[in-house]
Amino acid sequence: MKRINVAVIGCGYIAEHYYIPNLLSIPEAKLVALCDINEERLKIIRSKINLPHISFYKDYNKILERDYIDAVVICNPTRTHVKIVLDAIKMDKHVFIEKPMAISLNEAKGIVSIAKKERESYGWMSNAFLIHIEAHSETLIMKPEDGILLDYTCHFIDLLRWYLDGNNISSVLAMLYFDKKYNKEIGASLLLRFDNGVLGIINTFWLYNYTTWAAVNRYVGIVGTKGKIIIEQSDPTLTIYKEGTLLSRLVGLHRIMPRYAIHPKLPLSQIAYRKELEHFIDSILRDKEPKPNAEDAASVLYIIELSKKVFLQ
Amino acid sequence: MKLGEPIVSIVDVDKARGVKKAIYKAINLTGGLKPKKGSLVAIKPNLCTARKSPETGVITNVEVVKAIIDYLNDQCDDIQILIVESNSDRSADEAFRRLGYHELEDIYSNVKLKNLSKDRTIKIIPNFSHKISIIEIPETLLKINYLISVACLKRHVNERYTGIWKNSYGLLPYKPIRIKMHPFLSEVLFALNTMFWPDLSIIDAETALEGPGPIEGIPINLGKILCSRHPLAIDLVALKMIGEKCSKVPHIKYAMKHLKLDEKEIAVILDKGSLRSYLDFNEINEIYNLKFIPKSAYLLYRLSMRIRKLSIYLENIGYLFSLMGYTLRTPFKEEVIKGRIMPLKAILSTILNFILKIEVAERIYG
Repeated sequence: MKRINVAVIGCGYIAEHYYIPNLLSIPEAKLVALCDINEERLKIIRSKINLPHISFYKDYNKILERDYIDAVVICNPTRTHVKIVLDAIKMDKHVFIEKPMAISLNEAKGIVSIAKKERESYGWMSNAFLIHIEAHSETLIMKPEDGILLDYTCHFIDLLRWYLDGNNISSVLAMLYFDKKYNKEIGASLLLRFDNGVLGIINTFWLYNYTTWAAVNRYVGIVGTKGKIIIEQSDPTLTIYKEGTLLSRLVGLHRIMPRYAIHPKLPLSQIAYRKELEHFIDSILRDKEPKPNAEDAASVLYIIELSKKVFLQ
Repeated sequence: MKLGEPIVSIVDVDKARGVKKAIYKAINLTGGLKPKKGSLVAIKPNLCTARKSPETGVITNVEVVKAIIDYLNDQCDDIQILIVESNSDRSADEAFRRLGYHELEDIYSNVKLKNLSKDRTIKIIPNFSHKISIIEIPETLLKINYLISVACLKRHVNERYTGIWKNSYGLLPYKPIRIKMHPFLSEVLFALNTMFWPDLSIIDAETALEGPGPIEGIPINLGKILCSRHPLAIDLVALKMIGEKCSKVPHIKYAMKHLKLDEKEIAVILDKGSLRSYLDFNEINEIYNLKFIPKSAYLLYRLSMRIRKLSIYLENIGYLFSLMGYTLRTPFKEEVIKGRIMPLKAILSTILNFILKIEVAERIYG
């Protein structure tokens, strides 16, 4: 069986709890190397995952030099993404980047053009989009270093683009709410219009200093001419209305549970991370374009920059 | 929820004219059914076994279903019809083949047979159930526009009677889950019927079954077809007809209580077209007094249900401990303990729900 040798660059919380365990649970993937600039982090990770075939590195270039490593999963802070991604592409590696792709559109464009030039089968997954959907609110856990647009709203722009695959965004309206302490936007309302006339509304807010997750609420509502679907993440259910069906006629909106959910009250985050990694590995094995790819990611950054510009105007 | 009128028609089957006339008349007496163009109509017969002939009253006679298909095609020439059933003691495919249903696909170009046990499933959260948290149902049921339930009139060792209300149990795709959920039959049936309330309910009472039904009973000729838009009202009339009290049939009693159906609201319309109150039934129609199994045997059946009910609650506690163990070994432990994921009161309520609510689905954890 053909397996993809994968290395993880950046072993912070998200790598430790989501990417590493999920990579270990995908039979087609073989986790062969871990890298973190912080030796203490590496020690912690080594104490938890001490498999003989996994090598540990402080310098990511050492990973990129290894020919047997096919793909890298980059979980570093956003500001360090660009250099690592460009280096990885140059070294013929498939790349999976934890969102967002880069800090600015120019950086992202650089990645796309090089990836195209090198004619690589490049991979990009901004987040667990296959299951995770949209957010209307989120608990603020860390300092808003990059602002909500780059750090959080990007997921949902990505998602909207995925839903409306093949349609470009023709116009954008944006309103932002700024936090005085950090001078960063912590709330964003975007109204997007696609080529085919579909409207996308994204409202993302960080709930400041909330002590529980009780107020966290993420959902996508899709309204069509003959039906409606609401996808909830914190309460992992799909609420559906399909005009004319017996069930909708009788009970109206009805809720169904995703196939992998084990209970309506238990979150799906682990499964979502695994699904995106599985898609990445599968794309490499089958030599097909992943969704979203680098171009998609650059488009997201384009929309973010445009939103900021529109707001300032 | 919009329910059908509790009007029940009772029509005699004239052997010389065939069952088709009786079906047409029974449906028309309750107001008829005219499906919209392009719609998908599901017919759910009762094929609980593939090893009984249609004359025994154990399974729905294919001739009855054929007459319903003819009726539907007469009402609208652009509909698709699905005959749906899930596996029972034999596979539904075998039942379709041996009981003559497979011929329907050859006769009618718009009819297809659907073994629900082979369908993709989805887990649905019932809107009107206090007891059932999740039900796993075949995906096909989400797509149908109309449902017609066609049951037999039978005695049932666990429940005393089975008719339309219980026919919906066959919409559950997995037989092991159906067997496991027998102790919560009333709750499951209530959830299923309120989600998939049949647009038409027809009881094939040409032959009824007395004694140790639903499979091993003794056939009794009644020569009747019953029809209604209200699946519970039709069962109440059928119960009256066989001389059984509705309060003695657990799933009917439960449904009456939760639907708040008043017997006074039910009307019966006979062959000759006169509308009468259900309360006057004794005066207008013959009572057949179908025999049942000995009381001691029935009580043992009910006792076994009680014990099995308890075991399901205990199993829920077991699953809960597994989940708690899982939580304590994940990074969420701290968050849960600090009450950041949800407040303590909400956690306790979730735990209680987890123990007391029933999942009618294959569990994928534990």
